[in-house]
Amino acid sequence: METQIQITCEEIPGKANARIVRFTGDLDATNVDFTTEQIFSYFGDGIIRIIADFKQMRYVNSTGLGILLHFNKSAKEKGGCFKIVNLNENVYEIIEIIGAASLLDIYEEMSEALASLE
Amino acid sequence: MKNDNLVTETSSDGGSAEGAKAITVTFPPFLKLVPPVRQLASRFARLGGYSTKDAFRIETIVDEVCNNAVDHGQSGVESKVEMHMAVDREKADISVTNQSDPKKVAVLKELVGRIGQANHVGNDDRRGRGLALIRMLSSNMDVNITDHGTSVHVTKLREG
Repeated sequence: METQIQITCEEIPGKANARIVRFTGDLDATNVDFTTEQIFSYFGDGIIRIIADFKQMRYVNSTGLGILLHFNKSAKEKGGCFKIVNLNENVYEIIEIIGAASLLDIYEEMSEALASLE
Repeated sequence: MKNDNLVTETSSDGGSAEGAKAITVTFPPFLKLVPPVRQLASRFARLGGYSTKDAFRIETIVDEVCNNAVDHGQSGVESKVEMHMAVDREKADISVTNQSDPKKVAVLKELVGRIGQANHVGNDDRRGRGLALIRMLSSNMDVNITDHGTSVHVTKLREG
């Protein structure tokens, strides 16, 4: 009865080691292991530049926030990046009040995140 | 939402000036049972006239407190966690009680003792922000740790 989360991956033309990864649902303690496996499988395949689209992400708790920071750190250690786009205002508030907004690469628009890959 | 593991009771004090409504949910200490409890708390707040933003904050508080209750309490189907929530026009009062695991009490006391210390969030710390988040989202938080059980009481003033 884990909380529903769906993760899909989309290629970015002209960017061999980059993907848009779309998250749908809630990110919490019941599915952080699944989410970690998914993202690290991308890293393992050499996809080290990820734009995480949170347009359909309803909820993130402190455990979910912890793995987002972990993804960000791991991607940077591999010479890549983990950018987050389309956060809803409730989730952004949680990230902000916990003091993590400045630690994550957050963009309002997908176009801005894509442009930053250039 | 039907879940045979959750026992839910609701009450309404419609005759009082405040018109307080309350709900109590009892469940065995499994992380997978926390999402339906937090979502129930959010819907209960919305039914009490709270804004979506306040309901989201209440959902977050209930989630974090219940996750801690499961993580730091007795495990096993014979144990239980109880979440009680009362809402009125001005505030939501949330209480979560677990049954203590004697082996975890010392660690829990240390964790609670660290609340209020540096707010810095490290880039690689995957856990340990729950209590700080509860504190920042709520108006008041009390933690009472005994060898029998830990009770966390949170008051969240209505903002919208």
